[in-house]
Amino acid sequence: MAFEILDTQIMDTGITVGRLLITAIIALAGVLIGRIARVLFKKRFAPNMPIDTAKSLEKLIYYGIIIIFLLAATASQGIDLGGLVIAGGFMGIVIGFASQSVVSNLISGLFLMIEKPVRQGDNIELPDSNVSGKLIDITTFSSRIQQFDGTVVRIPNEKMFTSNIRTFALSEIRRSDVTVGIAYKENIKRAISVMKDAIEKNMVYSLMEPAPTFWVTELADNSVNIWVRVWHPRDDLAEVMPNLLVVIKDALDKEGIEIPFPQRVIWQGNSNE
Amino acid sequence: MTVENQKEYSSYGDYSISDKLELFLPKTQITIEKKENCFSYYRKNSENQELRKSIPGNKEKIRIEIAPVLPLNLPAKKTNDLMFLRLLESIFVEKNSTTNILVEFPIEIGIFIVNSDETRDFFDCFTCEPMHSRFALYGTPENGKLCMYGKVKLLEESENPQPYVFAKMKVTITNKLNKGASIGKLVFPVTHHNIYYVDNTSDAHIDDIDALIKKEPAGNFIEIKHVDYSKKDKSLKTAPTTDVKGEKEKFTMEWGFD
Repeated sequence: MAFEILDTQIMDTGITVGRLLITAIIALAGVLIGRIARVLFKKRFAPNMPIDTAKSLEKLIYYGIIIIFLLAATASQGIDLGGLVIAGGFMGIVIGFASQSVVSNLISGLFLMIEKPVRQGDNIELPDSNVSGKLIDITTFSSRIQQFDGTVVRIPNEKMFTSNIRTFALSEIRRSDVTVGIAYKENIKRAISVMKDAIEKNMVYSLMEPAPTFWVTELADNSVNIWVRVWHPRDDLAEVMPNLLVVIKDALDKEGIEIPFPQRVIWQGNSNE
Repeated sequence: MTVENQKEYSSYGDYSISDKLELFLPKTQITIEKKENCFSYYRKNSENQELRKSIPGNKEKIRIEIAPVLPLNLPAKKTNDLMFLRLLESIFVEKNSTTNILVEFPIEIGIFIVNSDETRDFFDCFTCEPMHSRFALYGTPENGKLCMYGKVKLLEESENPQPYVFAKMKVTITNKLNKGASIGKLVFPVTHHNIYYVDNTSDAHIDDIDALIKKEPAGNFIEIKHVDYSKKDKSLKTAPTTDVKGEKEKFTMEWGFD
């Protein structure tokens, strides 16, 4: 009885249930072998490769094995995919209209992988989306960015591809800037010298060359504003930015250099003068 | 005795500890002491930064080695293996000539645990000069290379560098240009360099470098390559290494050298 079911044809296509079952088993074996190959690749070879290359190869190996097994399975069981292609062509038009964004995301994902404006593992920022963090993966339809607070944001590939992307990975260093205001009565050169010494002594991640620079940017309402620009290794923003103003303020306080708060002097008119 | 006022410093070399050992180095004090089931390790520097570690086990004694190591570990491993030496006074090398100089080379101090088979395991690393362990960029921000950085001065033949802070390095500079050249900095890979020390002293010397100033279509370059220490003899000990050797033994300074 059971064997009779296996010989049953499906809708007079010449494909029997048994053939379909064998095809499914071979395809399943392909998935299993693909997974084993992927795990072996991740353990043996991926650690010695750049992250983005490893991830792309990993996907290529996995899906490549599955496709090869699927084709082998259909060919060995005499299943003609020509009919499916004709039916698929008609269905493709219907589905294409219904899934423009899906296809767009797929193609954008391919372009992201080929053009590589950013690589997996890079720290990036999408200013339009107000997202910044580490690009952890570019998948078929979306990219995932792990923000610095640990949360993961999924961005559709189309949006990622058409967005402005700010990347910090192309240079080994980056710059952090802060503005410091000193009182008008203070000597600017002395204040700069104090800040420079304090940064050199206390900020181990601040580069010695190029050295920090100090630009007087504004004679503002309440203070003389000095723009402090410090170069540091690109991944050490968290070591530099939170400490930079602390170090500068401590040094100026120690030397008695005033950092003024906003204030307004009001002269009251006197009718006798 | 405080970290600051100790003048008689401990030496490089092996130490065997069965009860308690106190080591004094510039701006640094180390105490290793046997406890009930372990040896405790305590390090304090002049800025009151402390480190405590424990070596569990019921061994009667342990052996450690104190040795100079390459300055690539502090404050964190960031660079591949490049060292940027800024010469406090630049050197002028006449056209078509060769000159030899001695310069300071910044070092860190490594503590290694000596195993029974005489192999060494890296245990701790510190600097006796907190103003060291700094970074610099050689080249432009767009495509420059991140390097470890040291401001160094030239040494006389008989002059010794500041102990535990600098080793001595010989630099041979050959100028192949048909005009004189001033050199204010030297940038080169260091992981192939060995550091040597004299046992029970504070004398340290690192492998030499050869610097060749030459003209290329794009400008004047310096090609720097590693050379074994020329005065190496059997009385010198080679310091254990903490670093994986980089791919390159030579480097071309193509973004200027003044």
